[in-house]
Amino acid sequence: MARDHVPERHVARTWALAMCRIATVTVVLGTAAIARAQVSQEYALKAQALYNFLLFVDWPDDAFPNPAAPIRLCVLDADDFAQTLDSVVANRQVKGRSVTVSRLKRLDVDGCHALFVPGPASEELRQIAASKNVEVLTVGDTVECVRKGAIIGFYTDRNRLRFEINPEAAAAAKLKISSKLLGMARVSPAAVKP
Amino acid sequence: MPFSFRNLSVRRKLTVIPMVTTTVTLAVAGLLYLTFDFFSLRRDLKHDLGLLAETLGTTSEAAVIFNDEAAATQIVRSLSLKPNVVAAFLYGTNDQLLIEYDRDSTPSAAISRPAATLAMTSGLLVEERPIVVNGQRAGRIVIYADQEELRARLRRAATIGALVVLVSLAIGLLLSSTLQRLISEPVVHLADTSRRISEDKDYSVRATVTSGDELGVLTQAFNEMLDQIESRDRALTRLSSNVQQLYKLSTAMQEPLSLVDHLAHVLESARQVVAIDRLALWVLSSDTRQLMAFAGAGYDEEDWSLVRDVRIAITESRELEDVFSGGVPVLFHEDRPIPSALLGHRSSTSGVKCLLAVPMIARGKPIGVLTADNRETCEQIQRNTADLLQIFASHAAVAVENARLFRELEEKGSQLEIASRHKSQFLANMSHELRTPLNAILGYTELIRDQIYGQVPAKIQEVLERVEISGRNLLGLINHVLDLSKIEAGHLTLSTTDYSMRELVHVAVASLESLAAEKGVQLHARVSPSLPTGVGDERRLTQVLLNLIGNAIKFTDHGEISVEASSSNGSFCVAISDTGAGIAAADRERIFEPFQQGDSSSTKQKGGTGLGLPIARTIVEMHGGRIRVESEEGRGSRFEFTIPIRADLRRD
Repeated sequence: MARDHVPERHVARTWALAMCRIATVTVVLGTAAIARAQVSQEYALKAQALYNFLLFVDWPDDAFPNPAAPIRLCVLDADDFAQTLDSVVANRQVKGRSVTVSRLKRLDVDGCHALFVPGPASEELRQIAASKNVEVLTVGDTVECVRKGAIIGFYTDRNRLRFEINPEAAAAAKLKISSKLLGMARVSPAAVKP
Repeated sequence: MPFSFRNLSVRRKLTVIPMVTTTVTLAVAGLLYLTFDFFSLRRDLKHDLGLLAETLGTTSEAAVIFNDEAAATQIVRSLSLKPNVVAAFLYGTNDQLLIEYDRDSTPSAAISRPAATLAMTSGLLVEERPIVVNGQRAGRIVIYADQEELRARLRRAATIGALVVLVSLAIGLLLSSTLQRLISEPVVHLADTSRRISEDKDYSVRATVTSGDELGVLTQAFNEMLDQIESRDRALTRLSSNVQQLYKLSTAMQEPLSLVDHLAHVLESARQVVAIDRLALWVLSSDTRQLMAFAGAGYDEEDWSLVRDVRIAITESRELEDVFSGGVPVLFHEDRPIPSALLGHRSSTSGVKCLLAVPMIARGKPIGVLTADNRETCEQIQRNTADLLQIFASHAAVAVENARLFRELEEKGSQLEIASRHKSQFLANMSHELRTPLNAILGYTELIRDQIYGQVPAKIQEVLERVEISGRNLLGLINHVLDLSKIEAGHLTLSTTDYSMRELVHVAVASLESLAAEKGVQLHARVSPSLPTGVGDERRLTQVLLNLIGNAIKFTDHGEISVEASSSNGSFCVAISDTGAGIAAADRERIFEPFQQGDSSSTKQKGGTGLGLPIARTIVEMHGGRIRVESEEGRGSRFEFTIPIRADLRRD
């Protein structure tokens, strides 16, 4: 080595300085990453939950054109979420059906079995709730969504993602929600009438 | 005897057997029930636990899927309603422990028992169920349950079982101890009866038949057996008494004395054996040829006095003549009238229906008749009885004839005895009469020789000496004859005093010493120094000694004579040995008989009466002693007599 004559103390100081710089850079970069990661982790949890809901919800038979028809999950205006959801449902089947993710640009729920509405999006929810014969499991980003007419809405309790279910809304959509799922959820104290 | 179930009484056995059977049966049934109960309960428990795991698994599907501890806690908490569940573990995806439940720790406390420890704990039931959601294994649930309930239930069942066994044993004991009597009592009664019979030998005892079952049959058979034994016993007793009576009859008839008494006794015995009312024995007197009743049995006094006086001349009675001439028993009954003389001329009133007359024949001659009669019936006088009576009659005939002969002999004997006694008396008198003049002759001869009546020439002196010797010999002879006749007449008596045998011997030896010295024979006396004082007739014993020693000197020409006296076993033993001529074997028996001597030629030489030894023998025997002789011809003789030290003075 060329630095054979350099005293050890000097070398150590040089290393420490380098490490400090690295740490500083990491912290700065990390803070931004964490903010972004938090959003994506929340979506991941919600996507996983959405998939799990499918396990405990029964659609009427006429909701599917044939027994092998896939369950179609529709996501309104949220590519990030749709992307996450894609990775969750990839290669998985629910009750013998494959699961597909559709990205909606506008509120056209025809052929959808479940609809995730990001953000408050209260207007769309209200519309869907008002329309009859729409056998769609509507899942809102927040509990507010349930007040607006969604069947399931997420909320956070003590850092855990939880959800609320409005059974009346589910019944109106002709969906059967398993008591097991209901046992996990907060049931809406009063379902909002459209 | 070692304890054995076999030796228990029937009563015990009958109680014990049902008890043992009941206990064993109940115990086996109880055990089987318990085992079955245990396994079915265990299966139920396992099934329940499986169901519980299944239910919990299904219920927790959503909780597992959403990885929701709170929901899972809610679900698991419901397990507290199942007290047998010790612990439960709920695993989520990737087999991560989602929630635990522990019965014994408060919900907030940390789990105290890890799953591994529980798995090691024995006696725990384990159920594990996978939680499958959407065809995929989402997690699993494991439940541990203890078997405390099972154990408690088994304990309860065992307790109840034991109680049931105890209660049924008690009831069984009560019942069997009551009911066993139905069987044991007849058996015990039978055993008691047979023991009593074997102990008391009383075969008239019978067991009571109380039931109609096999025991009843057994008792019945036992009684019948006893009947047979009793009847055989009776027959045997009768037979043995017959034999005994017959034996008595024949032995009694051998006895010739007091014939009438014996015959009467014998007739009585015979009457009992043959079951005859009356038996009588008629004897034909040899001189008058008349039959007279000799002995009878079964007669009352009046009848007997009538019969006794009857004399029947057989020539007068045709019927009796038939009996004698035929020599066989003749049965008199209604068709063949009984000679009334045989009934003491009371045929009309005596009511005798049948009479059997059996001739008594001895040495081919009829000597009498045996009659047997019955009042009521002829039945008893059957063939057997007639045979028996015939045997009896012939025995009796021999006995009567023997008696008659004996009596004749006896009469002749007593006549002889009287004659003999007269002879002895005559001899005694004669001796006495002879002795008196002889004493005078001897006395005067002695006086003449002593020259009381003046000088006597030597030649006459010699003659006088011979006269004196002959006179003394004659006196000795007369004395002996007198003694002997006294003995034969039974007049010889002993006058007993205390005496010393030592002195007797010395006196006798001293008085004969000079005689022995004259013949050149040595005479010794050897007397034991410590002889006791004897009791007897001193004078007569001296006579015996003098006689025996005198004989020895008389028959010994050279050599020596020894007299020995000793005592042993309460007797004196005196022996006189000589070295004389001895006595021939044939003479040894005779010398003790009166008027007998040894070789008569030698007697001629030696003189003597031949009465000394018989007298000596008589005296010794009167003292209760014995005398005997050992001799060898030419070598000498040894006379030895023993007498009791205290003579018991038998007169013989």
